[in-house]
Amino acid sequence: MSKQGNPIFVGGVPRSGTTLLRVILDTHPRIFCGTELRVVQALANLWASAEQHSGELLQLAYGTTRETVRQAFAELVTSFLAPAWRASGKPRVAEKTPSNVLVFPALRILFPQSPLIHVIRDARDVVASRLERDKATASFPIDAAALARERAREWTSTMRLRRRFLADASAREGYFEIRYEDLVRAPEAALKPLFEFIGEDFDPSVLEFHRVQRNTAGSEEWSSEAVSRSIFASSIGRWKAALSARERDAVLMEAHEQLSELGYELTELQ
Amino acid sequence: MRTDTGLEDPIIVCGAPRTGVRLLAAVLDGHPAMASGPELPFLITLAHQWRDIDGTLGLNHEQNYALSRDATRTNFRRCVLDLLASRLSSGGKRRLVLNSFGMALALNSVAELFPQARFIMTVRDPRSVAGSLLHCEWVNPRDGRPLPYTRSAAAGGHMWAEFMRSALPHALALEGQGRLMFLRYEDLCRDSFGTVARLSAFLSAPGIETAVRADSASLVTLSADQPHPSLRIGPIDRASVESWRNTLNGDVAWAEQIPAPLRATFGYV
Repeated sequence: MSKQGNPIFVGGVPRSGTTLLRVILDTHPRIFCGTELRVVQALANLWASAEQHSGELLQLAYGTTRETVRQAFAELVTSFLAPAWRASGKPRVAEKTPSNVLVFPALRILFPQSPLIHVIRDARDVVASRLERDKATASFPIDAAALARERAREWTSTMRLRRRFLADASAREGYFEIRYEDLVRAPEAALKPLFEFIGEDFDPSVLEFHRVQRNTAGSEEWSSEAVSRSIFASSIGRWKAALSARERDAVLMEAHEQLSELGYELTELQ
Repeated sequence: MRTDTGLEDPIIVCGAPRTGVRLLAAVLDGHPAMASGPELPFLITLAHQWRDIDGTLGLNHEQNYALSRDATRTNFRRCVLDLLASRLSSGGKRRLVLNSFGMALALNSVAELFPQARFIMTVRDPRSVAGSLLHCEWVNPRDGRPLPYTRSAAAGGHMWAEFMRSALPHALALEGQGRLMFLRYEDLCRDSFGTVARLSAFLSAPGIETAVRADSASLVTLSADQPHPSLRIGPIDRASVESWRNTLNGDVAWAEQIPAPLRATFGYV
């Protein structure tokens, strides 16, 4: 299969910088990356269910090979991307929805040649960012520390999936991780290896995404405001001011092991 | 593999468990142009998934991805047809017969996903259904314990009533649109030839009646060379219509708990 037939999939825990990477990719002259489709996880799970529970029946009774099943579902996924991608006139397509990361193992099989990109960010900043939104939109009093722990649990669960996925050496080949902190501190240095990984030249114009973006996220994407200006690094370590001591401890209770494994500097539990 | 639009009018056979869904699918499979196969539960999930995506994201996809809602529906339908097209490629078959008792509970999603599909919903006397279920060794996949309606006729009758209560509103609506035909198991057993002839007319598919022998009107003349055991069925058994009398030993007082209008809809009094 050619590069053109292999979408680039981007995922990560919500509030990890996936929208920032989306607009960067979409600004590249050869890549189209529209707003979140939000269907990939459901379709990948549907394929997995069909494969697991009916794969043998399909083969024996309907003469449908497992390769045909894979191809049918892969085409269903790409059918969502096709019209806007075609209209963009660009040779490659990417799809960014945070939950894509939860089905990377299935996507590895559905799209064997597709690059899978995982955006990772410090759990404390992720939780601080999510809590800020939770607090702003809550219509009833919330236990912020309990919610912080719940959000941290989601982050940890994704990192566990990552660990399991990477335990298979063959999975690593088409998989790339980018740290949000690297992306905002030194964008060019962080992006050059990423573009090399997907087989495209780094084009400095991608950093001008805020000047040229046409579809700077719809109201459906949380970060539409943040990606309407140039990259800023002030969001690194914002948890220090944004999280209360209880909230911070709640996050560390859940995430300290994974944070440590990923090399994030830890503070002592309160 | 891409299928052509001529395959977009499948026949969907559904109904409560033990009402003759597989029997009818096997009869239809005997038609030279029709192909059936075993039940594929994920098709119901797929239909629900399409409806969910259409309802929650359809507008977003239309605005941001230039993807019309109709195009999304077509793409889901093509996915199903791509999965099943190989079954048609052998022996000149042209029309798919999907059978699944669960599709009766997803009629709205399935009927919208396949706007040209025709539906056959099998129905059967709840006493016969309950009696037949007592012969089934079905277990709950979660805990391995027998399903209650395989141990108790009253539970079987309750299951039938709940099933019909859920399925009937959508089934009647489709019948009103001329897209669904109710087929009584008892009619299929007692007057196989005539019932199948009515089915042929409904499906605009002459020749289905050749699957049952006109002389005895009781034998399905296919099955031995079917590709999958679920289509290898025995003869249509007339005696099965009344078999509940022996199986249930007259214990049918529970049937009174099933609302009379529900029973009367199909002449079960």
